[in-house]
Amino acid sequence: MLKNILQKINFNNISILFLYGSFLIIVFICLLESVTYPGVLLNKIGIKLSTLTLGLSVVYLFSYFKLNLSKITIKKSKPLLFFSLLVISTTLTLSLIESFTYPNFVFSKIHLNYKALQTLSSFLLLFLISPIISKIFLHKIFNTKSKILVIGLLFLTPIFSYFSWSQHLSTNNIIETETRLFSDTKGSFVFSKNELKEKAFKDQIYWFFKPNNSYAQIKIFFNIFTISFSTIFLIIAILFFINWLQNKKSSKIGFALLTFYIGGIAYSILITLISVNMFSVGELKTFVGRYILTYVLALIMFSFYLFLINFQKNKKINTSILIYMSLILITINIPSLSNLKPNKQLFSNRQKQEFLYQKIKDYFKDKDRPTIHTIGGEGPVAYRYFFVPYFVVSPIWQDWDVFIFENSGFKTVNYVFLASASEVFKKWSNPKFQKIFVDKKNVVDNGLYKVIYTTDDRSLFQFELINL
Amino acid sequence: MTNLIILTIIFAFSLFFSYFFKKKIEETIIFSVFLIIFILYIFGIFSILNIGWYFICLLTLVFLLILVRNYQKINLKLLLTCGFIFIVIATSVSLIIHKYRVVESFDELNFWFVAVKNMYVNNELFTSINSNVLAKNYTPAATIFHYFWVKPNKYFNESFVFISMNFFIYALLAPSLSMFKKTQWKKALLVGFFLFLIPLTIYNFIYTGAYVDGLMGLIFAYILYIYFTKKLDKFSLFSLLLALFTLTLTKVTGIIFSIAAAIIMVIDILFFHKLNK
Repeated sequence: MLKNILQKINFNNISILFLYGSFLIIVFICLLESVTYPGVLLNKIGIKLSTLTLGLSVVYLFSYFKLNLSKITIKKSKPLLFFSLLVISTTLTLSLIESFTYPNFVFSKIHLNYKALQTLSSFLLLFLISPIISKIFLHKIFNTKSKILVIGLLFLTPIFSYFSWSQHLSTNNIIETETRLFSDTKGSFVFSKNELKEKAFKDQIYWFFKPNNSYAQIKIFFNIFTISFSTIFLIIAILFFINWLQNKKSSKIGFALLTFYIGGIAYSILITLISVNMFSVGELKTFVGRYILTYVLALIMFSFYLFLINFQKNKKINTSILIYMSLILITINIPSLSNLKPNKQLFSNRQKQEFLYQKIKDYFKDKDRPTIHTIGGEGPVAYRYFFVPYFVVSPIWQDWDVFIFENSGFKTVNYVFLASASEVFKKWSNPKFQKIFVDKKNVVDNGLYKVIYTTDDRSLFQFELINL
Repeated sequence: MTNLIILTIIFAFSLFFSYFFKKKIEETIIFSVFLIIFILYIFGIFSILNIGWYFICLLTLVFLLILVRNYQKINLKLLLTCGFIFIVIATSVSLIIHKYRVVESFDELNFWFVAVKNMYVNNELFTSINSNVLAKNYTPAATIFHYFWVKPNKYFNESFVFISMNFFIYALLAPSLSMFKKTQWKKALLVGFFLFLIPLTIYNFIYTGAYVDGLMGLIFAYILYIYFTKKLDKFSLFSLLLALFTLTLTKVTGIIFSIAAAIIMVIDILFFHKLNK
């Protein structure tokens, strides 16, 4: 009898039931938690939202692959795809808003628990990726005409690349830039607190409408000319319009430009938003100018590629026009082109220096890993590079003597590299500088000194010259 | 010798993919650069960067063997192209002009060069505990390619970083020359020269530094160029995905550009039905 019952049950139908059932339950419970208060499920039924959705996701995936192995395709996936993308983009937007404001901002203002939406988004990402995995690994089909496959791959590649790096940083205990940025800026993104920043932000954002605004201008061609962002965008828009007049079929290209154009405005707003929070008003212009240029370059190059294709199709590329255009660009770029010639004197000086640095590194080879403080010369940044892989701990923005006498970080130092003795002699009248050298006569340029600590708490020390 | 080894590896990769996908070599050079970065990144996050480099050498040997076995099937029209000539000339110029170049800029010393030198010395990504880099939260794509270039040399030579940076840029510019026939080589070289000058106009130090802001702009433009002007076959799709991967990991702001590029392409797929054409 049991055999008969089992024969009558269609396992494919059960899989479909599980698939749609788990999908609907996940969506339902996440939305329920979103519109109620955070943690309502844990309070009422004693199960965490994440545990519940994880379990249901596993059921969903098993059902999905069971159906795929039976070569049953899931119909009507388009609305599900739209729903998924909508939820994921909403979650991203809400997460960004909360990052720039303060914790619980979203829930307190619009009464939407976006953390529950984050769980739902994670599941929907799984939903998006399952057909891709199944197509590649189960059917061994890689059909570039499949919309869901291409869209999924295009979205997931940057996300997974980013998260793989993020994961790598966290396993190495390194704080990623975004986390630092958001924790630095949390709570400070309230313009009413800082009128100067508010003005700077508005000035920068309104560049499109105010081309004469100094924030809206960048220096190009080796700082000879000043051009506003809006002029660059306008020139490209006109060129595209001419292109479109010539080839009206290129509506797709027109769309690309439009998206690119709107994207340029959105990008400049985003970059300004970040920089207003991270930097002072004075630094804002440099920061924004540098980052917007990336977008401008992309826009110019893409436009040029499209023109090239259009002109090549119509056989309108004229060699003489190209020569004239190149000559104009060469003239504009003369200072930059002259830069291409290397500074041989600098190279020869560096060769001599490298000989000395190699001797120092050879000395360290059989020693415990040294920590070095540098005085004078090319500065700590350069010496960190020259002494790779050894640690140079000198701070960039602090005087070398302040670091020695007032910074507790100096207690970790066991070697001092004195690049320029004159730096020390400038302060020689102060007896504490004379006292730190074991032999006062041996204060020399490019000298490596061992730090000898004379007390257990490392508060007293002397420098002893090493014979390399 | 180092430059010869590296160029042999890249051209072996490019030749193989040109043969495999039936594409012009200037289109597969940048594909090879992206793929090399991807392979080294995977090995790098597992702290076996040097093994990744030897793995690439092994792949080169395999690719060369396949090419030698099938040499009769290789289409020479796909190899001797205008884009390839552009890359050869431009790279030769870079080899000459960067021979005696040393790093000068503060920012480049602070991260871009010190990161590569640490990777060269430790054979690990600059995030390693043995590295003396301060900004370990920077992304690694460009430095990985520089590491690939400097690795075979006996000592760390910073001029190779400039050369690898230049090569990366030329490889990004070259695919747009694939539209020219061999007979149009004069015109193609002029366009190539014009292409060389455009980034220089915006970023004056793009060819003499290791800053990646300009590089990001070029990768972004490359993604849109490939998507909007080429048929979306397997090769184009893989190129796009590798480019998106590299763009995301070129700089922290790269994620903004790659998401923007993905959005533009997805809107086009949904509303203009690119895939059905």
